Formats: sequence, structure tokens, C-alpha cells
Amino acid sequence: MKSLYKILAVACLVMGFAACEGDQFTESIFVDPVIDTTTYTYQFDKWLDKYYTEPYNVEFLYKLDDNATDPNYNVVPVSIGMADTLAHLALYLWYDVYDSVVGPEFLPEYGPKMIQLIGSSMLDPVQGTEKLGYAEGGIKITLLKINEMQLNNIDNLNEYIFKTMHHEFSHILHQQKNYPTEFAQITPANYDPIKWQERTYEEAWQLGCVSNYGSSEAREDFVEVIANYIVKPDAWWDNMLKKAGTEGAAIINQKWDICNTWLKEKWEIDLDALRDEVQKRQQNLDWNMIMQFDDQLKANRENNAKE
Amino acid sequence: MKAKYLVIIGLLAATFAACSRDEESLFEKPAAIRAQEAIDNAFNVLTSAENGWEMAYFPNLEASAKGYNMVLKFNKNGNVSVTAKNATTTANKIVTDTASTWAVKSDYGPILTFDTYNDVFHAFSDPGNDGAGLLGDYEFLILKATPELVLLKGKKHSAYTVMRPMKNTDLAAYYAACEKMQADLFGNNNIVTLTQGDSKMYLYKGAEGQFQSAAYGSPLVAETATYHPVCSTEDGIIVSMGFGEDVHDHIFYYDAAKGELRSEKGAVMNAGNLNVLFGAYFTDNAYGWSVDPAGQPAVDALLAAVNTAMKNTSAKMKVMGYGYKQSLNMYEGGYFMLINFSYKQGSKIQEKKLVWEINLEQNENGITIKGTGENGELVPYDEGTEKFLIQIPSAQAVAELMLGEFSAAPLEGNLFNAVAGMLLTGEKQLTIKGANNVKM
Repeated sequence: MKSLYKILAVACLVMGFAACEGDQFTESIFVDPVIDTTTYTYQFDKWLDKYYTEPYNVEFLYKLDDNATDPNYNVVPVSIGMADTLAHLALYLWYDVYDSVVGPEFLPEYGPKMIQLIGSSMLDPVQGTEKLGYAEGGIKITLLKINEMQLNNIDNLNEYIFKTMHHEFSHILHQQKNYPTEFAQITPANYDPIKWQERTYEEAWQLGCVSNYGSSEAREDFVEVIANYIVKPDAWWDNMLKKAGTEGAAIINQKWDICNTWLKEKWEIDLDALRDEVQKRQQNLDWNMIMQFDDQLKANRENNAKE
Repeated sequence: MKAKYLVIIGLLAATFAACSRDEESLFEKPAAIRAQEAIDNAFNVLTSAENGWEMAYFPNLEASAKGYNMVLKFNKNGNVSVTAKNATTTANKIVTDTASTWAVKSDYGPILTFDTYNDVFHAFSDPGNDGAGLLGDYEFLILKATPELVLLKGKKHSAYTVMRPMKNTDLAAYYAACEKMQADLFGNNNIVTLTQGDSKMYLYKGAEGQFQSAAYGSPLVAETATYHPVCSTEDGIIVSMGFGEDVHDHIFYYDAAKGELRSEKGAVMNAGNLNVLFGAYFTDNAYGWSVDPAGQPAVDALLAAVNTAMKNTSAKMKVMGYGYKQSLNMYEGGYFMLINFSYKQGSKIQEKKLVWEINLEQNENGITIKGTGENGELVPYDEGTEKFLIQIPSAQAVAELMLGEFSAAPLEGNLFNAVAGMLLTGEKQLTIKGANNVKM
């Protein structure tokens, strides 16, 4: 009887392997994407495939599926025009920055596998909070309020778009490799996940957090340090340390050291180099150049391939 | 032992027999194929309307919800064009956005989605600054898709939305026709009686994109009203929810000759019994009836007396013309008759009100209006009225015009919208019109 079981088990294994024989793994998780040439959005879809899916292994979701949103909030889709602008902007200020500073192999491997855009934010009028983005499971980033991007207002873009990109991407990174436990132990008593929004920025700084949202919980604090450091200019950072007071500034610097070390040791990312590159690009926002940045990328890649 | 095996084998055989499937499937095709066919059918129907679709859009069923007319053209390449004209989202201008997409996808059945932002369409679902906005849907369950009618249900906020193929190719003419229908049917805050079988109810305020409903046969009480979004169209009205047990009795066609809106399932809206309507129109601090002074000798006599009095006024008090209104109003549950003079003195608008309280009796057979005196005579309500009557006694005769027994009849052209004007006939004959109350 035992022999019979052995024979059956071996047979099952053989059949199991036989069933898998035809499967092949491709480099992209999006197997053979087919873009319908007859659709209204064909040109944009083709562009997204060429500049996001193909090089970075990421699906750029701009057509909203309500099932993919939190049903507790009312949201609207992004406009095609704003999706196009954001896609170019992210290429210039996020994807190409990592390519340049960290290396072109970094984002295809560790970057999000899905970027979802939503036109409005997620407002909770009872709590008085507004969600601008979120990261899920180490693979998906959702960016909100894209329809309300103020393209000629650098402070607005910085606060609502650029910071959110780097904030959510930092979540993606720590969802893959945990941030140091010591970070959460620096100011555990100061975190308030319920009433953080009642704190001003200055109050948060004095508590040793770089933003009021950062004072909600440790993981938000962690990514807020990174995101704010990357996108905010020197004057903003210096002012924050000054107004944080001696104690608050010391705590923020201690947190920054942990973030910097974690990025260096776990990801081989030079935070200062990353910041310098982002700051350089942010300070000279030329929309004509950004909207044609794909041409430059294409030329750079072709040159790199020849070399 | 053998018997035991036989029993087991018998039971096994019986078990397999019980499981044998010889009944036929309820459906001819597998679920996946039926789902795809439903999607294909909806796509083909939506893209086949030559002039696009008239959409009676209802964002939700909250008390504040209203109905809106939109015109949509679904292109096979996934592009959609949306046009609207309304006070809420387009400042009463015809606005079209052609730069967005739509799709039919599968979820719990075929779903129509507007998946990229359209300035016109998503104005109803944009959460704005309060996280809610107008609480409109942009994803819909497709409940029915035929070349004549598409019926949708909002996925999140659950209101029904109705689409019919556009007949009119001229958008300006379409919206003008819808607005005319709305004004003709519901001007002056018309009240109509809805009859469904044996049950009746009042519906009113249809001009504002929603009906309020109230119990039949008594003055309207706004506090207890329930709300029903409504859209006026070229040929009648569309409601988000049917009024009776059948929630899908959405479309009412207007028959001007009969003065009625009749649904496909036999529900009827009309002016109803006008004597009853006369009483129903009174609403505390909101609506009453104004009396047309034309052709009333008593009114002419009063105005002549007022003119004479004005001529005798000192230059300092010179009155630069005046307005006149006689009306029946309701305040705090009581009925009042008012004669109201508004006049310009210098740069200021002044008002003079004469007030009498009245008793109103009204039923399906007629209307009786009496004063509050012992014998039903009019008694001045306040000192101001008393003083005015001493100076100009002819005002009393004007007030007495409305005393007596009357029967209400429609005026030509106001068969459905009787509130726009009707005739009180009896010993005297008066033309009356629904109006906002004059402040007491």
C-alpha cells in the first residue's frame, strides 16, 4: 500500500511539473501588454508603455477604477491632460533622478509596480484631514489631488505633488526593508494618530518632527523626514531647525541621521546627492523642457546603449 | 459481514444516484459568456445612438438632490462628449467637454464608467472642499440597455439615471424646449396631484429640479415633505424613482390637451380638483393667492381715492407712484386677506398694508370665505387698517370682493399648471394667481 502512495506521489509531481513546462517568465510582470491602436488614448498609452512600463516595470494607472479606491471617500478621476503632465513631471523629478543618482537598475527592481492617479484628494471633514497619497504593500503608490496641481506655483507643487511622490516612495522602500526600530523609540510619546492635524508645523517641529503629519506616527515621521529633506529648499530646512528650538532641532537631526544611514546602508542611496539633484531640477522648472523630457531621455538612453 | 458491505455499497450507489444531474441548466450559456454578451450589448447600444443620448442624471437621493439634463455622445474609440446646462454646475450656460473617456466593464454585471475627468460630468461627483460635493456617481450598474432606453443605477449613491436617444440635434433648441416644459408645467411653484390607483399625493416645486411630496387634501407643510429629484424634458418629465411600489416608473409624457403627465405604467399627474388645490396652495409664510384687479370697479374706486389722497399730500411727502396687490395668505395657521400698497417716497420704498383675518372653508365642492365678525363680516386686523379705512373707506369694498362662496375653474392655457392662474366663480368672479406671500 505504501508503494502505491509513493507511485501516486511521484506521478503527481511529474504531472505537476509537466503542467508548468509551458510557462515562461518574462522580465516584466505585465506580460505582453497589448495597447489598442484604435482608442482615444492610444498615443498616451503608448507613451506610458514606452517610458514607464517598459523601462521601469511599472503600470501607470490613470483611468480610475472605483474598486481600487477607499469606499469611505468620494473621489473623481484625473483628467487626461493632468495625467499627461504628472507623468512627465514624475519622469523628470523622480524616475530620472533615481536613474542618475542611484543607478538605472534601481527603480525597475525596487520601484513601485503600480502608480495610480486620482483627480481629487481624500477629504475627511469630520477629522479635518486630507489624504494626498498612499502606498500599499510595497508595490503601489496612489497620488491624489492631481487635477488641482497649480503648475505655476512651485510651493503648491512642492507641498502637494513633489513631497507626496517622495513620501510615498519612501513608504515603498521601508515596506520592502524595515526602517530601524530605534527611530520609533526617539519620540514615541509625541505621536498622536488622532489629533496630529490640530498641531501647527511649528508645534510639530518643537516636538522633533518635520511636519504635523509626521507627528502622527513613527512610520509617517520617518518618510516625512526623507521627503521634506529632498524637496524643501535650504531656507525652509534651516528655518525649521531654528524654530524647532535646541531640543526639537537636536531630535530632528538625530532622526535625519538614522534616515540617512538607513538609505545608505540598506539601499546604497546617497540622500544628499539625491536632494541636490532634485533641488537643482525643481529650482529651474521649465515646462516646455519637462513636457519634452522624454525626447532627451530617449537620446540619453540611445547614447548609453552605444557606449 | 457480507451484509454490512452490501449495505455500504447500496448507500454509496444511492448517494451517487442522488448526485446525478439530469436537469437542464437555467441558462443556455455559461456565466462568463453571458457577462461578455451583456458588456458587448451595452457598448453597441450606447455607441449606436446617432445624435447621442439624453441623460436625466440624478446624483443621489438625498433631500437636497435634484435632476439634471445632460447630453452624451459615446464614441467607439472610448471617447465621450458631455454637455450640460444648469444653474448648479454651468451657470446656466451650455457647456461641453469632449476630452475624456468612458468604458463598459464587468463587475457585478456590466458597469458604465466615466474613468477620466470630464469637466461637465464629474462636476457632480467632485468632492470639492467638504469631501462630498453633490454626491454624484461616475460608475453605474447598467440595469437595462436597449436602443430606446438605458437605465443606470449609481454604484455608490444608488440613484437611478435614465437615458434616451436624443431626437433633437440642436443642443440650444433642446435645452430651450426643456426649460419651456419646466416653466409651463411648474411655474408659480405649481402643485399637482399624483394619482396611482386609489392613492393620491401632492407634488410641488418641480421647477427646482426636485418634487416635494405632501399628503393630499391639506395645505402644504414643508417640514414634513419628502424629496424626489425630477428632470423636465422635451416631452414631459423623468424622475429618478417611481412614486409607487414600482420604482422603475420613471418617464411621464405630457399631454397638453388633457393637461396631464401620464407615466408608461398609468400614474397620472394633473391639477386635480381645483377647489382642493386652492386650499392646498396655502403654505405658512411662503405661498398664497394674489387677486387680479383688472375689471373690478371696486378696485378702480379704491385706486382713484388713493390717487386723490396722494394729490393732497404735502410736497414733502410726495408719493412718486405706487404698486397695488390684493392677496390671500396664511400665517401661523391662520388665513389673512391683505391689500398692500408699496410706494416710492423720495428715494425710499415704503409699504402700507391693510389686513383682515378671514375664515376659509374649502372642499371638493367649493370654497367659502368669511370674515371673522359675528355674521361673517370683515373686521380690521390692526389699528393701521382701521385708520386707513377711516380715511379711505372704499378699501373695505375691495376686501369684501373676496367674501362669499366660490368654485374654482381653470383658465385657458393653464390646464396643468392651474396655479399660474385660475378663476373663482360665484356671486362674484375673480381671477387669482399663485404668488409668494406678502410679509405680515
